[in-house]
Parts: sequence; C-alpha cells; structure tokens
Amino acid sequence: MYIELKNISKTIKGTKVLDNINYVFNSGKVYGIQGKNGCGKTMLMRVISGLIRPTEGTVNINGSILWKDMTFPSSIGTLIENPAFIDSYTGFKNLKMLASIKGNIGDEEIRTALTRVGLDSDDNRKYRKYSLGMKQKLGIACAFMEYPDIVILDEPINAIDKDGVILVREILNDLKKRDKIVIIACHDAEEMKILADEIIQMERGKVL
Amino acid sequence: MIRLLRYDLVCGFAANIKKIVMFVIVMILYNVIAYHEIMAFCKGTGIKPGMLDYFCYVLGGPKYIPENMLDIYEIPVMWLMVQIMIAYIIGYYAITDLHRYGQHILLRSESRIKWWISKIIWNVITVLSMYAIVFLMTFITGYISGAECKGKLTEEICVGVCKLSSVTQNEKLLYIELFIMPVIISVSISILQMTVALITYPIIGFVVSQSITFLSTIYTTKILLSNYAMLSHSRYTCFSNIVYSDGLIYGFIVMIISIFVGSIYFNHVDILPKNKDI
Repeated sequence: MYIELKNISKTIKGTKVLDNINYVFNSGKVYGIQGKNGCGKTMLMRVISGLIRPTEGTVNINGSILWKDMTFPSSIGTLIENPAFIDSYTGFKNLKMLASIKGNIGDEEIRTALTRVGLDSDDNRKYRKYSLGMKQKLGIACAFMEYPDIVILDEPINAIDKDGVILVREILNDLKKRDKIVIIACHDAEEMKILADEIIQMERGKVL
Repeated sequence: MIRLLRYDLVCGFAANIKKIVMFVIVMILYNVIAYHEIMAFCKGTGIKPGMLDYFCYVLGGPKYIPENMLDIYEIPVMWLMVQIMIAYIIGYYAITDLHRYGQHILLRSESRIKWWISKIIWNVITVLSMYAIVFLMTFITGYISGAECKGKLTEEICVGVCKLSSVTQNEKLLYIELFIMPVIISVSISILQMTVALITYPIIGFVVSQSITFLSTIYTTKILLSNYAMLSHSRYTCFSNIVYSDGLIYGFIVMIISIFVGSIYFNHVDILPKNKDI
C-alpha cells in the first residue's frame, strides 16, 4: 500500500497553498507533517482525502489515481480540523451511525474503539455535553474504528490530557503494526518526534 | 445508497425537529383562521361548506390581481408563511451537514454523486411530508367543522372567503390544481433552492426561492413558477394564462436542471469551509 503525490499544487483564489509537492507514503509508517499555521498541512491532508482537487499533479493510491479512477480513497479515516458530530446523539450512537454506512464493523468494534481512546462506550451523555478533549477523542475513534488503510489525523492531541496522549501513541503504534498509512499533523515538536517515524517539514505550501 | 438515505432522513429530521414543530403550529393557526372565516361567512346564510372549500382556503393561493390593479395587493401572510417554513426547513441541512458530520459520511460513501442524490431524495421526502401535514390538518379542520365531502367547491365560499375570481367544477382539474400542483412546484423550488445554496450560500438559496414565491403572489405571469401552485391564479379561475400542464413541464425542467447542475458542480468542487482563510 502506498500514496504517491506527484507535482501536487493547489491554488485557491490566486494564492498558491500547495506548491509542487512530491512525496511517497508507505504502509506501516506514521508520517508527521510539521510547519507553521497556514503552511498547507491541512490542505495537503484534504488533497489526500479527496476533499479538494489539486490544481496540478496527481495523487496515486496503490495504482489508482484520485479524481480519475476514484472520487475518494476507498479506505480512509480522517480527523481534519475540528471534529463534528450530531449534538443530540451519544458518542456510541454517532459512531454507530457512521459505521452503518459501510457496514463492515459491529457494536463490539465500536465499543472497543471508544474504550481505546479513553471514552466510556456506555456513557449516556449527548455529544453536546462532551468536553473539548472528549470530542477530540471521539474524532480519533471515528477515524480509526474501521481500521482503514489510510488514517489522517490533524492535530490529534489537541485538548487531550497526558493519559489521552499515551492512548493516542498506543493507537498509532497499533495502526503501524497493522500496516496502515498514518499521516498526522501536530504543533508539538517534541510529541511529534515520539509519534512519527518520518517528519515532513512544510513551509509556504512546500515540502522542505 | 439506502444507508445514505436512511442517514439523511434520520439526521435531517433531528436537525429540523424544532422547525417542524414551528411548521405544525403555523398550520394549526392557519386552519383556525380558515375555520373562523368560513364559519363566519356561512353563518345565517344556509350555506354548508364542503371539505374542498377548506383545502381551497389553505392551498388555493392568494387573490389574483390584474396588472392594472396592483395597488389593491395585500400580502397573503399565512399562505406565504407555509412556503417560507418549507424553505426554512429545506434551507440549511444539506450544506451544514456537508461541513460537519456529513464529511465523514461523504468519505465513507466514496461517491459525491450518491451523496448529492441522497440529499435530493431527502429534500423531496421532506417537502412531501410537510404537505402531508398540511393535508392532514386541513382535513381534520374540515372534519371538526362538519364539512361535507361533496367533491366540489362551494362557489359562494370560494369567491367570498378564498378570494377566487371564479370557480371551476371540473373535478379532475380541481384535484390537480389543489393537491398535485402545489406539491410538485414546491418540490422543484426546494431543489432549486438547495442547488443555489450548494453553489453559493444557504441564505442566497432561501432568498431566491422566496423571491420567486413572493413575486408570484403579485404578478400572475408564466415565468414565476409559484403561480402554477395556486388555483387562484389558474386560467380556470381567473383571466390569466396559467395552465397546470405548462407548470408540470416547467416544474420538471427546473427540477432536472437543478439536479444536473448540482451534481456537476458538487462533483468538482473543493470541500472547504466557506469562510476558510487561505
């Protein structure tokens, strides 16, 4: 499994937000994207997810070209920017609703995912009552619960306490062992060194 | 596709529950007014209202005004209120969903077209449900008032209370104009609204749809789609050139073009928050 970015550029409203990016992501690794605000980290994640179309270049996922052979990667889980769920549902019910779209996991896997991020699967509180950290944890559980081939996490440890960060590390290690491609963005340089196997430094839309 | 649709029906309903309750309240109010006006008109005259008279009051549309008499125009508040509420219910869900929870759904569905079609079906089902509420509540009002099911309009009530210029007793026409046309025209305007909202902003979609509806209450012209939803503006009840068959074709064309334009646009658009700083 691989993702090959070839000459990826993206221009939005006259501004080049991604500039000729070439990179290959291989399975079984955690990639960390680092850079200042507005350097293009989230944009790059959106390009890989198929949410935005590059102005130039191609995203090749295991031989299939995004936007040509497929609309979205066939197996992907994301947490991009702020997690968003249905306010009036519990965490479990939110994930169950999402899992029902593909129908490849059941209640037990959802409960396991919630437990692994440190949430109680029997918690009856609605999502609107969740703290910031709990929302973030639910977002992470949502991204990996189906064990997709590609997992993209934008600032996964935002608002998460120390214990939660340890759980995130364990999850990323597990995904690596399962031969997944994990791409994360994180402001915390020290944590990034622990989480990622390879660090991609970005500046003004370019990979340095 | 079925799973996507099930998601949209559940989440669309959850997102709109308060608005639907408001819609029901508006309909109760509208029916109370209809009941009082019709009963007050019939009092002491010996005229017995029929069930269709109530439907004519609620769904028949505002008074037809010839172009040279526009100064006598009165805003049909309650009739417009029903249309505004439907547009309000339709207006925000699809686009809000796209930038929130729906993004997870979109990625899992692996298809932009399926996502858009599911939203279209949700839109149609929602409009049909709103009209089911309208029909049910009007029927209940007629039933409570002891209205007869006589299958035709009472001329005195329709001209005196419902503001129709004249009355048609062609049953087939009546049912088409009163029960089918408002639904079809509402569906096509709602789909147009959702497409405009997708391409621009939900508020612009709302303004476009409600401008068409509001202007139709003033100007009885073929170009303004909502005219085909009003029995009161039909050629069979006033001196206009509004014919339901044209409305059917026009409505379906608007619907198909909106669906097509929406799918082409959505298939290529970048999914970014609209106010995203770059």
